[in-house]
Amino acid sequence: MKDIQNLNNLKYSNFSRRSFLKGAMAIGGALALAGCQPETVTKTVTVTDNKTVTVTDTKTVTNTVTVTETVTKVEPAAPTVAQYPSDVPAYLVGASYILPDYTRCVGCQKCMIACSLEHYGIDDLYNSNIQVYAMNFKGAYVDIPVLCMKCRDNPCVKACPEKVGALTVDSKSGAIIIDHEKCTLCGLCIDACKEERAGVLRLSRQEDKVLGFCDMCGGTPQCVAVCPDNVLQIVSKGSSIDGRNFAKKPEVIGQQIWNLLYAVE
Amino acid sequence: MANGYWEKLIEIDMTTGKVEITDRHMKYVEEYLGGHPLAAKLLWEALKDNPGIDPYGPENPLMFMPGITGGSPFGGAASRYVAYCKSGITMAKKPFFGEKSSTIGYGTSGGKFGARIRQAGFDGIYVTGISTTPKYLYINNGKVELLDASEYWGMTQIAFEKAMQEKYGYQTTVVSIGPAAENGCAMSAIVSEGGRAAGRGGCAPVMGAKKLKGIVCYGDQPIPYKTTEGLAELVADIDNVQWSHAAIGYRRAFGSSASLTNNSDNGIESVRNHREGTNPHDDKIGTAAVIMNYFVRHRSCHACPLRCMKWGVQKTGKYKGTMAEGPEYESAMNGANWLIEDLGEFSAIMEYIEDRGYDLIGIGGTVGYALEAYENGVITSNDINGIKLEWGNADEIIKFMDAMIYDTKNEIFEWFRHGTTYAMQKIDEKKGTNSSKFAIDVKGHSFAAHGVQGQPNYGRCITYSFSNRGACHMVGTSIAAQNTMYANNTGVMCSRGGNTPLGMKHYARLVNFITGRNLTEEDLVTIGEKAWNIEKVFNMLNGFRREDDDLPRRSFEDALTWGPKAGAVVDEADWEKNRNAYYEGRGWDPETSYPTAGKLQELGLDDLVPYVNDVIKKVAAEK
Ligand code: SF4
Ligand code: SF4
Ligand code: SF4
Repeated sequence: MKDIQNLNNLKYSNFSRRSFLKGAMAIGGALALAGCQPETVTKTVTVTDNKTVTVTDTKTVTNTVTVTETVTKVEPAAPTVAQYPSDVPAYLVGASYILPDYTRCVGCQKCMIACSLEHYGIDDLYNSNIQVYAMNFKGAYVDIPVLCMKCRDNPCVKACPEKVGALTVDSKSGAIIIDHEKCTLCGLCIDACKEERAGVLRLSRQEDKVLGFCDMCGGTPQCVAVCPDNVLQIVSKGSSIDGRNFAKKPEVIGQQIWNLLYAVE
Repeated sequence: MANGYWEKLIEIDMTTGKVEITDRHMKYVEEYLGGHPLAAKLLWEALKDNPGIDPYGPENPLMFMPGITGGSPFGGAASRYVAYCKSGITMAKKPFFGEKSSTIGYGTSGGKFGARIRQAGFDGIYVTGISTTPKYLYINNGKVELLDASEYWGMTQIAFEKAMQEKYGYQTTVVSIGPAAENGCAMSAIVSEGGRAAGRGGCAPVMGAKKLKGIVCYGDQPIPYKTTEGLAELVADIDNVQWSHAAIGYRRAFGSSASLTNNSDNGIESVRNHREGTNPHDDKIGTAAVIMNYFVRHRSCHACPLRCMKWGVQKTGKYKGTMAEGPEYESAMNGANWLIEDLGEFSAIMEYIEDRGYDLIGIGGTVGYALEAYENGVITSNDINGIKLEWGNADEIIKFMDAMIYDTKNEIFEWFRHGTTYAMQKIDEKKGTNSSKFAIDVKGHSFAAHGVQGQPNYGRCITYSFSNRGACHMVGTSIAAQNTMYANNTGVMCSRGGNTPLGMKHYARLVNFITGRNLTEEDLVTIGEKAWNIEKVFNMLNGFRREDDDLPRRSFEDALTWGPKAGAVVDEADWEKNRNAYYEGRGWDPETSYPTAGKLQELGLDDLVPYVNDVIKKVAAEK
């Protein structure tokens, strides 16, 4: 994975490239990457048994470039097709979560700024999906970035009432996607994450949305790109342990990292 | 609105406990923009007709001002604030107001606080009055409360921060004073995150006198930009500018500690109370030693990629487990300047200073004076409760600093609480000694960790002598650099990397983006020059004169005896020529040092002319 975290490239060029892409995507969707407008997009969902969902996307574009992807996803069966913001780039396919190297975070909050700029066009720290805590234990500070760990057992998704079904897991990236239209703001996912995991979810300032699900920025995680200390590592799904192991409260992680760094003997 | 300002200033009257939101600053922002120059104007307006007030009295306004770029996403411009007031560093003898005379006082600090005030929806904080009981200020996204701090009074800063974080959450930023400032030590600091300090300038003791333990701030809102169009691109661009800055690599690696070994090797470190310029123990407490044996963690201010803050822990020996933010370069004032030779001792001293809330530079000068006065028999062990104040003796030095805070019976500690020059004047008066040579001060404020004897030019002499807050090493080595520094201080820009990492060109872009104005670099520099002149006139009203713009005698009389610059000393006659050239360059009268009416008018400061004329009349009447 180190390859995609070749951050020097990302660091120097990422923002402007993203801004360009964003504009392009607004017109043509993800396939604007190929330099042309999509003509038709069809999605076929085949349920082969109770647990497996096969999603087939067929996208045809004017210059006859055709992209066909077939992804098989196991457990939990998503109630609807994931509304991932864009295609997952090759280097992210199968990636499941971003694990901070807590020993190295310098607390600059550039990740929070980047996340908010990416999603809202302004550095609104409250809205950032990644939150950094500067914590002082016994005389010295540690900085702990906390974000959705895309727990594979998804307590948040399970907490969402079946008849509402606002939360789905993206088949490719593992990101949890919220459908704000369906969401009734009952707060059960917020409670589930708070009680069982890190507690990354919250209501928006206007209390009209649930915030805090990391969507991997539609494939180019801006926090990873901007972090000056390569703290944020994209962990591939196939080769790693479940992110839920790290979905702990900041003060719990903070105390452990403090001990690791500062405790003598 | 939305021209970069919230148009909200938090005003606290500590005497009545009243909290008000005003727009007192708004009528000056067009002319002074923000940060330090805006604070200078506000202090001038508050005290111009009453400059002789007791800095420890209720009239002295204590301000916490982020810059116009405060709370923005631009590294180096986002995070900082300036604390500003009439300085609490005073002298025993001074024309006009005696012990109440002092310069303007300010200290700047990074961390997150400057960003947080703005992100909480305010442009600054303005505190007057004096409370009878300890208080702290709690700010949370537009809400402000002044609360009882009785149970926290006397706490170390780090303990107070911990208590506040446990109460208000781990994204809350705290600035506070420790026991040193609470008990009136002039050489104390307002500290955040254990190691980001608004030190110099004597603002912390004023905060202590007001009985304001700390300010606890949570804010998470974007500042009111004129427009957000192009914000992401500008952030990326500024990031690129910073990553291409020549200094970023070594700042990230070493922080300011890079200069420890560098300056020692060049004979310009503060060693043995500025008697020498090369640290004989640099191999034990210099840059490489602390990198290899001490630092465990880098930290950054809000939005900054430099991570220049370093935390270390002592892992072996008698002082095992002591930890500190640093050593910063200026920590040399508490290392080489006291001839400390062991990293463990250095660690214990740094931890003590951070915990008690001393200003490491100021206390470096005060203890430096005391060590040398003790060596020369000016003060004896009997005078200072039996403490054996010997060079490099960390335990005894810590005892001495402790007595400075807590001993209320022994008058000598009361004098030391006022600072170096004050103590020196009182001791010499009582004992009939002359220890003035050991007080390495300008205008009562200590030299920083940069020696002048070994300097290749007069740059450092210029910053020390002419700075309006006395012996400041930061304000620029020439008139142009000083005006630029003050211009950058409208955003309280960071000055890491030799100069600001961004430079005026990019700084002007940020200001114009945020405010929607069209200021040129020259416009900004003029703001800086105006603020500099206002401060100069305020100092004049407090009895500061040409002789106060000068170096301590040691600079001319004590040539370095060891190291690569052995034999170096400042040439007094040549320096005198440079002083005259400085006054002329400023448009000030070289004979009196006072700004000329012509210069003030040229800057649009016509209203200052009568004040200058008054001083000239008063001085003439003395003769
Ligand atoms: S990957 Fe994107 S959405 Fe997720 S925390 Fe990072 S910046 Fe935010
Ligand atoms: S961290 Fe919280 S929001 Fe993310 S998957 Fe786990 S429970 Fe859900
Ligand atoms: S950008 Fe990186 S170093 Fe900075 S706060 Fe985020 S995770 Fe930590």
